[in-house]
Amino acid sequence: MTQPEAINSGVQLSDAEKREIANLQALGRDLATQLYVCLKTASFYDPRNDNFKKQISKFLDLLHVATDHESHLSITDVDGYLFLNDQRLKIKLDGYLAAKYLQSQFENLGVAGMEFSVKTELEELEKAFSQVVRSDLKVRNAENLNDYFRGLEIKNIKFIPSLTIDDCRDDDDDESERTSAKKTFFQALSVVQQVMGGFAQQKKRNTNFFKAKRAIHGIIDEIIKNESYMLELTVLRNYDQYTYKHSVNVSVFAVALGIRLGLSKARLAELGFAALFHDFGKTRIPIDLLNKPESFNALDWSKMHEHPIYGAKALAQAFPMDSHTARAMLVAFEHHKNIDGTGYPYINRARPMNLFSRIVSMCDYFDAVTSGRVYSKKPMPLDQVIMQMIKQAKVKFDPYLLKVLINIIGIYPVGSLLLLDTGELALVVANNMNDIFRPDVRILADTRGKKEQTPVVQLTEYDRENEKYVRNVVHLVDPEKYGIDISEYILES
Amino acid sequence: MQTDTKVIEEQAEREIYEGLSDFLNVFSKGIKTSLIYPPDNPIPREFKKSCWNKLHQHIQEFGLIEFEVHASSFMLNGETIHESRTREGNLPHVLHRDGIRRLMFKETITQIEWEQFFDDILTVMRAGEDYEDLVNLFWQRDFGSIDYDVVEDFSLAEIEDGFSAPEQQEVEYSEIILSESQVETKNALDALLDGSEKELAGLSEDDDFLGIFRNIQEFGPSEKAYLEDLMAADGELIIEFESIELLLDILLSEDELGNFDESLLTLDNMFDKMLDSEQFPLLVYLIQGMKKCYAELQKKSGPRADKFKDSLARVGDRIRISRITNLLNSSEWQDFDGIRLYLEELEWKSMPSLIWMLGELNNFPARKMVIEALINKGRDRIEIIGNAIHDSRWYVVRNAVLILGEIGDNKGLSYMRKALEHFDERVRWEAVVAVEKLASKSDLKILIPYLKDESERIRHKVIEMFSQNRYDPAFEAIQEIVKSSQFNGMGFEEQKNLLKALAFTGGDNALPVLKKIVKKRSFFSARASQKKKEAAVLAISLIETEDAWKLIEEAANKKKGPLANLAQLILDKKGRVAADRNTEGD
Repeated sequence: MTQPEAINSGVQLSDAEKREIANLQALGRDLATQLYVCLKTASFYDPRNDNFKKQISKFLDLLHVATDHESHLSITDVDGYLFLNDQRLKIKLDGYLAAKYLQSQFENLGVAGMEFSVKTELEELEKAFSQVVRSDLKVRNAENLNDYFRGLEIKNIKFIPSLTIDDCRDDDDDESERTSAKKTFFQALSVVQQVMGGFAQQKKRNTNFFKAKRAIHGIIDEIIKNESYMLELTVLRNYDQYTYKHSVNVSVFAVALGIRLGLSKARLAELGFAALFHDFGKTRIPIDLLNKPESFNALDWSKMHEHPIYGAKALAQAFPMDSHTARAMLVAFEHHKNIDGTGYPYINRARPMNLFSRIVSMCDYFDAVTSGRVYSKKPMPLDQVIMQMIKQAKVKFDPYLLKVLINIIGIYPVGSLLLLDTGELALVVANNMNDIFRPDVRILADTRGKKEQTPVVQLTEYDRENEKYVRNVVHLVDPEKYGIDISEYILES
Repeated sequence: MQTDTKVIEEQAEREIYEGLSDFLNVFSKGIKTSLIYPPDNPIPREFKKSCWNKLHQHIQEFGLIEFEVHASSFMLNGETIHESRTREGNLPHVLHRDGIRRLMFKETITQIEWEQFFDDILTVMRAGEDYEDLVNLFWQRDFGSIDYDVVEDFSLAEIEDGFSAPEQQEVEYSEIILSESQVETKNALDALLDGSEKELAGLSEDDDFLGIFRNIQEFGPSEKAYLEDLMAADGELIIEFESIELLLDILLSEDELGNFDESLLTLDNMFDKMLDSEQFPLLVYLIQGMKKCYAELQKKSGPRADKFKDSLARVGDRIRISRITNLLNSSEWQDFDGIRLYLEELEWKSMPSLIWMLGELNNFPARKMVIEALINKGRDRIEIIGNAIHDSRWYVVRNAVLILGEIGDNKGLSYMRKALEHFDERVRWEAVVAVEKLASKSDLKILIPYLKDESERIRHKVIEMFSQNRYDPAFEAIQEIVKSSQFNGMGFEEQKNLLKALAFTGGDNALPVLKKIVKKRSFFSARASQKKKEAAVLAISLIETEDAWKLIEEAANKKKGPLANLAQLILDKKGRVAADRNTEGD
């Protein structure tokens, strides 16, 4: 392969050179994706399985193309970026899952990445991939893993030491990412407050418009970096301005969904923006009604039903006319419409429901019912919410998009309280995108109800000896029932 | 020795500063110059390239570039490396006002990234701070080798204070675990997902759509195809058009008049914003939508249609036309096609505004565009264009005359009488040209007085028109001029044309005058006299009657000379033979 320094070092490039870089980038992405497919397949199948062999063979072919002029090829994770040898791979959104998976695998193994020699053979790959995905693999860090591989006679595949092998350093990085996510989330909250709060006063509209766009860009960057930290923040309750918090939450869910769909960065920004201001029309609803502790009567509902139309109009007045505003107008108008054309508001001409409106209406419903503010005054248990949404998929939501959303929030969404078959009580802190039934949890109490100070554990942890998972979910526990406020745990962490 | 090293280090540092300063000066100059030209002009492209060469050269020599951004300067280690004193094209200011405080170009920067960076700065400077934000543009670019720090005016503490700490009661985990351990383990969601117990999930056996959720973690080919189609369909939408349609749909559905008024106001507001940001394709779409909407409203009773009509009329009122005028005057490279389409969409009621606009525009392509719009719109509203004849500005009158001429409707002739009397020669000239297009032969009489116009080109044009039309009512007037002493003072071309016109308009009636010119002896300015005679012979040949040919033959039979030769040439050309080539004339 051509040396990446030469490719990117600021030389004026000819069209042929530009094409070569694009081809190399594409090849690198293919290779990373195929590595992901091999590892995923290895986690499901026995090494003798034909499908597994087929995927490995495909990987080997790509490896041979990529190592055309090189003796080795490495795939590494440096500060959240994937590198093929020394060249940073520009991961497109459709390769996002693969990249995230590889990064999480490398992190679990305590390595920066893997290096493949041009002499690598099929059998070596079979053995190596099967070992890498073993959940009971106790060996960690590059040095130990390389020793281990030598013992298995895998000579042409090596692990690259991580620059951040120090556990304390990892914690610091996590902490820094968590703080960054929190800052971004709160910043978005601040912007929504300024924009929606300031709308009535007609203040600095264009400035607010730019700020709102920046807030969304921040949300997108954070979700691409670490989806869990942003989703975790949506669980925070008790914010004194519910509508604003809800708006940011919906935006986070919508952007996460857009990323999974593979939307371009520009469209993600529009989606996030539209989601952030989907309730813009509520700036006209009296605050007493929005905060009414009792259930709404018919008159209250009639007033509430006006907010989509007012929202569309208010957005047209509030912001410069561009694709962001246009998207936001459509979403504000349609977010209470149903997939079958029912819902509100009603206008004379039937309009097909826009993609972004479909996404936002689901995220809006999910956040509203889990927070227990509008549809019911008490938060609905999370499993009930998902079930309700599935049951309404034929009428209210796009079932395929709903399936994507469930894969993001998980069967046990972040903030869920779980009873485990070990008798432990655990709090879901992150969805596991590879197995949504087995999220990452923080143990809150052991079998005897004693409060534990445990780190995060993965429910995918497998006991090879007894051929079973170490922990299984028994069922969800309704925190409301026991007066537990999950926010406390989130803010504590 | 130590001192030597220090000197070398200082010198190297100085070189870096100077190199960087040099690059930034070229960059700043490049931006300022590029602002003058349209985006597709080669000059900005050249500047971009020369800036890139400087940047690349510096990076090759000294490595990455990093500096601080201040309100009107760039600084490196406390030293100013570039300063902008003028407000126009102030590069540090543009970056600083959007919160950028540090800028870094890494060694891996490519020419493409540089050009995108350059273009973004130009875009912001062109649009002004109200319409673009540099940080947002940079984010969309996703630069790999350009880094920047941005300050935000936001306080984390303020937001954190918004979260009220709940009264958390002491949680007895043991009780929860004990209580929950007794709950039935199989829950409804599990049942729903594994499909084992639909009833438990509250669904009937007919709910087949649940199949989508059964294998919740996998997406089959048809599911993927559905999602891809959904996104592809969305990608094809022109979302701004959708939002316009939505607003019009809302407006048509408003039952309460108050809400209708509010929607109309929103529409006006949206319109103005599009105009401010020069989004003419959207404006055209909006106007077209408004027209359809108005047609719908007219079918309903009540004041809605009238209110809407006013709103529709405002799209071409003086205020909005004045904004477009300012826009067109501000630069010569505006979106002419977009504005042209906008003007075409306007109703006839906006014609007075457009005529006003004609008087305000200061560049020809813009005026031409408005004239074309008025030609299209004015066909059924001649009187509105005609009224512009009374405008005090000569150039407005001239353009109105031109438009009337292009429309070509005979009704426009009545306005020409006034225009022909205009003090300004350019207006009269345009009026003569317009009359030619508008008038029937019988109407040409209004031009007779202009045979004596003070302007030679007008006189010439009128004479030519009479000739071409063989307009005999003009004969007397032409003959009078030819007979007058003023004729002799005219230039040869005009004399020739007058004689030609005399022949065409008078036929045989013109012969006595022409004959007199041919036979007249002249002792002074023989050469001029000779040329006049030749012109008269030529004029006689145009009459083509026997009497006329007889006169030509007489001229040909005179003693050899230029006049006889010319006459003979004419006869030869016509295949006629002179009776007696050598016979002396009278």
